[in-house]
Amino acid sequence: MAWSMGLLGASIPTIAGDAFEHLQTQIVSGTSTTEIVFTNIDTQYSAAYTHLQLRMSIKDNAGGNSGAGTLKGYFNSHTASTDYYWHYIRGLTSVSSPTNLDSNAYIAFNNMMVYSESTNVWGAVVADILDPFDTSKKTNVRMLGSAFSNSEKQVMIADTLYNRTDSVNSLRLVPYSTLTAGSRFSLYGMRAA
Amino acid sequence: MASAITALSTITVSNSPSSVTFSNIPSSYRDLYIQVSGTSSSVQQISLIFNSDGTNGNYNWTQVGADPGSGLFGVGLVSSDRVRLGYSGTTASSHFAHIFEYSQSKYKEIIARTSTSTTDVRLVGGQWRSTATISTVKVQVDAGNFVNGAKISLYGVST
Repeated sequence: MAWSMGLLGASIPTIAGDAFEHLQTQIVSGTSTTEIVFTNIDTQYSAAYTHLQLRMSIKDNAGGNSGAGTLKGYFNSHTASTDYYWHYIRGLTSVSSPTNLDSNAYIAFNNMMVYSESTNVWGAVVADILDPFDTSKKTNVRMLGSAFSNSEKQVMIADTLYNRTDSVNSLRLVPYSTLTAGSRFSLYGMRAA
Repeated sequence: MASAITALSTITVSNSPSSVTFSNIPSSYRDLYIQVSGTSSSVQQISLIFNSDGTNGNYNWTQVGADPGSGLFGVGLVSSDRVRLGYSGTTASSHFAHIFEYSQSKYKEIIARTSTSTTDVRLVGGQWRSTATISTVKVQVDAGNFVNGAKISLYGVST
């Protein structure tokens, strides 16, 4: 099978056969999960895959707010304020707003964590992690996201630069409070030709 | 390792229909993906309708985009009877839509990208306010017809 759906966000050309493969999925159960961690990514996948994709359906148990918060992502436990640079464009309820490039201490899946007041509503994110194992360049994370909580409804495209050339060996994802049961985190790999 | 993407169906349009429908979609995948490539008889929005639910207010969508005339723009939130993916074109256009967790007991979130040679590029967020499993997807030209040769493809994304 060959297809050209532009799965990696914008402009990836035709992808052949089994080039896009499921690696791991973590689905939250219970009410006390404070983080999701993918470990040994480089060790397990760098020999076979060039790019990664993270697909998430996410919700936060935090109450008292009908909006949505930020899921924070960290590569290799790096948390310094200049470890990441990001910018985005988003469509909100009534306006759109582009931002300038700004430093950050984490990968911001901004306003995608729908809070508990929004019954049955979940944020959806597709994030392409480009060249995570190439130590000659800095990794980019390109995110498409959509969340329609009771009070915040938006679509977003964002790009985050991981400001290091380290190979990505771990990814930690941290909600505002705890993750709602049923939150889903799937990691995929894309092979090179 | 098996591919995480399965081509479920491709419809190549003939007889200039105003819509096509994928029916009996298996529930065994985690997400769905739709690709629309082709033109329409006039510049119109392409929309998705799930399980024949045409109830106004059961869908939300918003769009952000850019075009040569007005630059960046936002469409704003729309409560609707469908999810609008952005405009088709009479010379070329493409639409790509992720449909998340289509068989889970959640409202269904849609993320889409659109480009058309005649107007603009758009990023679209949408929601179908139903926890039902999606078994049919109607892809329609809101006021007009697909031009013969347009291809609409449905894929399943596995975990």
